[in-house]
Amino acid sequence: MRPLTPPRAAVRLVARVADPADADVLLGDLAEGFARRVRDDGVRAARRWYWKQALILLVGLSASHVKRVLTPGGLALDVSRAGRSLARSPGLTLAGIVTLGLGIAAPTATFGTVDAMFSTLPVEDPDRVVSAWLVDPSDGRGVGIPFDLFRTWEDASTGFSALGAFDSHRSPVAGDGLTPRRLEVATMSAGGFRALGVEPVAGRLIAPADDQPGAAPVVLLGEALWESWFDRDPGALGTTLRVGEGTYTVIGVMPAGFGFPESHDLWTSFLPSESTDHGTSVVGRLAPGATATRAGAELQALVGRRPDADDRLQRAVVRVDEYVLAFHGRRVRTLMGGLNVLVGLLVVIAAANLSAFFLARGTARTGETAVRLALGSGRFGVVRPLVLEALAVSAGGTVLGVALATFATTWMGGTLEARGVLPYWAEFGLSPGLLAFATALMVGATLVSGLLPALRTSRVDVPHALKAGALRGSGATSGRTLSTLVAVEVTLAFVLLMMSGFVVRSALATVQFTQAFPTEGVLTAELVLDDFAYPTPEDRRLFFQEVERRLAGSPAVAAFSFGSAMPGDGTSDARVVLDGQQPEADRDWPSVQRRVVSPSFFAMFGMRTVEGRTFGAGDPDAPPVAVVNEAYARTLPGGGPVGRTILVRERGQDAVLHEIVGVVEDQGVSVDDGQRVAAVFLPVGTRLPTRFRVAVRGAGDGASALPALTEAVHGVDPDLPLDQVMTLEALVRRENDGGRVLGTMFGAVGLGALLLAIVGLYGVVSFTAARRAHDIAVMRALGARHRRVVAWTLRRGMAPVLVGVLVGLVASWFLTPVLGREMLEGTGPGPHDPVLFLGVAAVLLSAATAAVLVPARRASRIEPAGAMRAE
Amino acid sequence: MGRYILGEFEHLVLLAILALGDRAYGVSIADTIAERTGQEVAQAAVYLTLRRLEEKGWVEGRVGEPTEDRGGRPRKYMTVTEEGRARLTEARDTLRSLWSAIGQEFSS
Repeated sequence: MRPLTPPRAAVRLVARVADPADADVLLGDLAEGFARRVRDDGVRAARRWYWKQALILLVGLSASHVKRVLTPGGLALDVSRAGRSLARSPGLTLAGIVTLGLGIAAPTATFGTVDAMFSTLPVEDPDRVVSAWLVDPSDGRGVGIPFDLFRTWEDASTGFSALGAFDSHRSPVAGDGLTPRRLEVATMSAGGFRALGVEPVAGRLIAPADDQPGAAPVVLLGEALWESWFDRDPGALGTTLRVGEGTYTVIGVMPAGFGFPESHDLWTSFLPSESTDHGTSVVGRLAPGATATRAGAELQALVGRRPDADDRLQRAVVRVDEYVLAFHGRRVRTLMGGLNVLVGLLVVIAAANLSAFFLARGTARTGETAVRLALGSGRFGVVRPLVLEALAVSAGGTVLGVALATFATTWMGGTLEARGVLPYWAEFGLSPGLLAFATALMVGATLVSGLLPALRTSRVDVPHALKAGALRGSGATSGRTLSTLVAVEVTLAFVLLMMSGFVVRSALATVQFTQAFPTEGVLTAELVLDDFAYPTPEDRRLFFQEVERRLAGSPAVAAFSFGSAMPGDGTSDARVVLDGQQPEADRDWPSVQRRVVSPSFFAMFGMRTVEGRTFGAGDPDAPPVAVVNEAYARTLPGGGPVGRTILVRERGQDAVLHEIVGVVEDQGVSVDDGQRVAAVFLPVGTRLPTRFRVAVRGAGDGASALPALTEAVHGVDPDLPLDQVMTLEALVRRENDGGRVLGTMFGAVGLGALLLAIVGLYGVVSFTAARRAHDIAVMRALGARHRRVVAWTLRRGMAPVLVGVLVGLVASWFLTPVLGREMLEGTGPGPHDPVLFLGVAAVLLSAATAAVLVPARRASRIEPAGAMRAE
Repeated sequence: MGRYILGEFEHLVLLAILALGDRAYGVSIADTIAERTGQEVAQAAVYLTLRRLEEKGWVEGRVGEPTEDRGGRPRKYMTVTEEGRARLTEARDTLRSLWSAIGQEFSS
């Protein structure tokens, strides 16, 4: 049988919510009422009745609490009290504000970035616009879609209301009276425009008739090009542009906000030759009621029916996914997901910091609270100053958070925009909704973490607190809670640092380090001698000779050289072996960096000749000659390299015998893991590449270098654009951009976590030390030395840190392999990279020691008499 | 100070206290109101109302001795203060004048 007492949980609830002053009376009334209901209606009904009363009280009292917070009585006094209390411990207050600021800024900035990258296409029903592509299931690689397969799809499929083929290539664009440029040009069939549902601002779109074999080539201009080239003249329609090898008639202008497929400004119709030779991309709009899966299955069925499909095409699997998602691919998506997880952890750390902060303040108040309660202050009177403090910290943190978020978002957007890596639909900007959400979240967390300890400390057992000398603040419980919070925080920070360190390290791995070489004052540009303009090697030789002659004769040019790639610029590898020592399997040939350069290249970049000679005008055509760097020479067994012959096999070509004529210093070569990379140099004169860079160092202040270069090139070929004109410094920097941006994002989150952990630790330790001022004073009075006091404080402060680091180590040990697999697909360092594990532990421990040492030293200077008097 | 019309339940609680004399405390007040209105009255609602009235200074309480049937907890006997009486009178007069303005319609 049930006991005849009220439900215990309900009694506790009532005791908790009631005013301490008359809780007893209330509990008595309820007990009396309960006893009578047991008699009249039975135990069950009585218990129900008791619960009902408890809930009514809970609601009623909470409502009256809220109402009272809003009443002005005594508010001014409490405000000034809260202000003074915050000013008394500026470090702790600042810690709270910084925490809150980071907690607001971090999620706003990162979610904002992710949001921008994954914002939808600016078209109607963007989620209906999909990409269709082919994947070889055996290796996960993409398979090109032949243009006629696309035609089959377009004609036979029912799952799409429109289906279009598109393609993108960098091509020279020229027209009468226009400066030629190399631009990213999109080739797009009529269906693509229909699928996107876009309209031109002038003229007409590419129509189905324009896609047919034999149709006249047509081109659409972007609004920006229309403005810069034609000054928005409607007369631009009907004029012709030379794009690549074709001549196209301008038929329309697309609006400024349109840049499909990425950030394009020029769209041509498909030329018959282009429509057959290589794969195309496909974009479509799902028909009403169709799903991506069903539409994909339908396309899949159409692939199998093609009689001419090769093996790869036969086993290819059709994928259909939303265009923007497909565009970014899986890796970016998981990386962004990972970033969100890290930021989530950061927010948890921030919240832990905040509760530590307020728990510390609340505990410090136990004495004061007891006195005020004893003097007849209502519970509310005790809680309000604490709530006001929480509000003040919230306000400061919000200001900081908004400022940080604005800065971070602007920086991210600016950085990505300046590098031209943002697709046209990405809209970078501080999202007010996101900011409001993050702020509400953090301020909410502040109020909760400010209010809970406040409520807790306000139910102090008055006589006990006063007796126990709690004027100093007491409570082994809150001491334990604080230590636990510190340990949790350190654990989270460890995991977070590990994860961001992991990404940063793998990003660093993609950054190319280069042995120092002179870059000052060097301007570079890319030139492409397209097949249609320079069909034979002889054409290209003439071009080189003539440009070389003009540059050499220009007084504005101090030095110049040509090269397939500049130092510090990414370059391709070739397989190189000593003649007569070639391994059996092709893939066993060693890989060596390969640069095709003009004779002046070595002198221009300070690569002195160590042995033999470099290239000269009189080099014979056969056998071709090569120069190697010292790093390569070191790999050769037995004796000097000069005079020996090597086999050089370039991608897609047969191996060619070369004679080594010289060895140069390692300046300007890539450095990989601290090792200078082996490189071979082949002469431009015999290779005659179609795509190369020209580097010019101007005479005097160098300002005339660009005009001189432009004049030299256009003197030979007025239609040839100078592409990617930039200083060599910018070129080297750009080479490492991808890794740098990614590394910066994750690095910033890691740093934020470290900062938060330190701030939290510092706050808690200085608070604990201050609270122990009494004990320390006694220690000092009893003759303890400074050093002992420091050691004592240090030990107490570091204990939870050590626990946190250990737990973090174990957690990371199990987490990083998962991370490596999911986020980086094995491109990063090994999952149990000792450098990272030891590094993170060292960084955290030393930062923690510093955070603990400052208050510890302050504590050691406590004067016994002063501390005792303060009580 | 602005006119504060007594809430219906406040009105009932004040009248119940007056009716009970020196025996008015939480449970007896709830019982009296329940008896007269014929409706269940939440003990918690009585407590909340008493608390509000006490803050306004319309009632005051005197904590009695602990009794056994209440688990050793005391009763708090309530009385209506002079101000509380004034409010009640005011409320009665207001209601009266309104009733008389309506006239005979409800008299049947």
